[in-house]
Amino acid sequence: MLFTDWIFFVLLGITFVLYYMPVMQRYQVMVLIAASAVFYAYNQPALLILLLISASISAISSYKVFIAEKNIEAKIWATFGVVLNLVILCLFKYGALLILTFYGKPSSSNSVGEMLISLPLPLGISFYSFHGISLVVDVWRRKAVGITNVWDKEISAKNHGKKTLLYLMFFPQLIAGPIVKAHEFYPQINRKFFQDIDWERAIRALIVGYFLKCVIANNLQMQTFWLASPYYLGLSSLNLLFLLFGYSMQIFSDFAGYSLIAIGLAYLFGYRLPDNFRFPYISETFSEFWTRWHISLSTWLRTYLYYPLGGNRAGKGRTYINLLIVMGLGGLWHGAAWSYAVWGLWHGGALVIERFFSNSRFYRVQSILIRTLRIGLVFVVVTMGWILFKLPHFSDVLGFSHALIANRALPFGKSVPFFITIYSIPIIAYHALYLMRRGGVEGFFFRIFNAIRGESIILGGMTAAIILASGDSSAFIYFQF
Amino acid sequence: MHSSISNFDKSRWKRLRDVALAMVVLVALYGTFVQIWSPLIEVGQNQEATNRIRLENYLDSASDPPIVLVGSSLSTRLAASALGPLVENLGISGGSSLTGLDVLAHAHKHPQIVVIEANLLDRPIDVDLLETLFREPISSLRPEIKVLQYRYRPVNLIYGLIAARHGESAEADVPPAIFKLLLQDQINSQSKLLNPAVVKNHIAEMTDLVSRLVASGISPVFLTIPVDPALAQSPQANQFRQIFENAFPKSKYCWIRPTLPGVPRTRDGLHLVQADAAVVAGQIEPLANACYISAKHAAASITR
Repeated sequence: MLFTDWIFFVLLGITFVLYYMPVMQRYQVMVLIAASAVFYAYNQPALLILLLISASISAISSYKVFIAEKNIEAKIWATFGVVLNLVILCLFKYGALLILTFYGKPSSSNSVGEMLISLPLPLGISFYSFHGISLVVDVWRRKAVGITNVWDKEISAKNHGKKTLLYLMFFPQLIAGPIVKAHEFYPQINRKFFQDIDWERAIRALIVGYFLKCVIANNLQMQTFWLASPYYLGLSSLNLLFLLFGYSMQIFSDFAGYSLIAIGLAYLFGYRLPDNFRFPYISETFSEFWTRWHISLSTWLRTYLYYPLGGNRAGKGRTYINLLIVMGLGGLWHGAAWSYAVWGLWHGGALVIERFFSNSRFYRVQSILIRTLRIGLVFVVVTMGWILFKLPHFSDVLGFSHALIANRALPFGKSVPFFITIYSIPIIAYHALYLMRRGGVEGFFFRIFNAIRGESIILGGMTAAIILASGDSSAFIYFQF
Repeated sequence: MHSSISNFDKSRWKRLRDVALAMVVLVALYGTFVQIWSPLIEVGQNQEATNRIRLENYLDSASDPPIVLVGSSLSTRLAASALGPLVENLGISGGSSLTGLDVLAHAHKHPQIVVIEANLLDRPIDVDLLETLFREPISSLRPEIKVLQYRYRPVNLIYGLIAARHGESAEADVPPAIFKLLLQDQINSQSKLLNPAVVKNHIAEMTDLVSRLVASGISPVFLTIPVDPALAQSPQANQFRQIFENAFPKSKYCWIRPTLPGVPRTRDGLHLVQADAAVVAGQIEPLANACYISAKHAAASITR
């Protein structure tokens, strides 16, 4: 079920009414779990079983960690929880990739290899596996350092099971995040009241989210379609550059839109999900980019992978290796194809090079020109990296790169750049306004903006655009992960 | 215990009211604007948009041309100016004749002849497109309330106006090296036979649709558009040809094959260049009519 399907709005309406009915207040958690189960099972009911198995593993192992009397016992249960979550992830997401890479296409249709290749990819498996790992590790870490936390006051197997199901299945973030850490989510699980809904934030997030998805991303998707093979072969280099730029805008608006919708929906039920995007395309460095792009994933990777590997505390060489490992695995997390790992390494390489030159003049000077150059450099490198996202076959990536250089003499088609420019303007304005505010250009412009109730008009305009100018419905790009 | 999320107050309601008001005013203004102006828009922001606009324009207009052409992107190359006023082109880029036939089966139109492009049989009926076109109550309201028409989406309107202003621009030639790559790509994809079950399903759907149209008095005429010689005898082309001719034998159905003075010139092996497409388009109406008349005569002589 997509956030843009009419059936989703029916489910949302029913859930919302039931959730806040006074008679149902004691069962709010169960209402959300049931709605999330319907949301998840709508297209592939059988895969709900896998989600429930994963949730059970996380609930049991984290509970066992919590009640364990000996440290070694807690450690064993924590390892059990993490490993099983990873096994499920590897089996369902990477089974086919590993078989095809190391054994080739199975010759027999009854083989284990064939079975692995034919396993369906459960929606959101990357997200709920990471949630499960976060839960087990959070419980273990807090116990290890002797922190009495929110669980110990009221923990019981039944209560913990229910909370864990909600944590893993909460429908706004079930399929594509934001990835919420267990210690951020559990304290929020309590009785909610209708009068406490933060309507302003909820509606703002929903309007901007649906605008980014329906108006910008879905329309751009109708243009960036031409990036696919073999269409790029016949397009000029300049057109290909426009398409890449358009894809960069599309993937931002698609995923940031999804995240904002998730955040807005969570507000409606009294939950606060972490921000996932913060004007990523104004980043001056690659490390800054990863504090602005898919923030919940980069924070997760930093907390549960980069720091345990030693982070940057074990010398320069080890830091570089850690960065490459984390980004390579982070890349592979996005999809079961080696090109995603290469995409991660592309970013890892950029982070390493940047760190190596971090004391150079280029990174120390704070003039507007140099800062703009830094923003431009990050944007170009990030945008070039998206080729690996859009074209998961290396042969296509090479073909595209060749066309980018070889097709200089081909005539420039005007229609695609025209639309890409139109749809990119709101994204550019969104970033530019933030830069202006950050740069202290408050004065006249923002005074006028506030005086004419600029924000209300813009939000009203966005809603009108959702009604009048939405592109054809399409799945969120991050659903495939 | 109450959640820590802050309470709502009147000033915030006011702000939300302003948002709603701005939205209503903008939608109403735009709706009135296109209702009054309603220029003719024939192309959209991409091929899917153009497909939808073309089909909506046909369904919503009062005109009922005697010949309707259904097909894939091969047919969309045949420009309206070359086809003439008697032929309505319902070719669908990225689609197939099946979708056009299905549209015709649902439309309240009565052409005499439907020309069915019979080059490709690999694509199914575009169910989403059909659902969008015929979804009620929008489908019934669309002819009257212009803002519901896809062509009047703001971007389609802007682009359609620009395109109409500049007219049909001459297409740039594909450089030989790139043509070679594109042709090779087509040869590769057509070298594999399509799953027989899929093709069987498609031809069964087509047979059903054709018989429904025949029952409502529309005569089918099958059309083969010339393609590059390297593709004309490809395994897939032969597979399709054989299946088509078995389902709709020449002894029973009209088949037309427009010709070109030389070897067909295409952009990628399949899609004709503008000049050749115009030559082919110019032959459609006379060939289809001749075929239709001779079939009528034959039927009449059998009756006698």
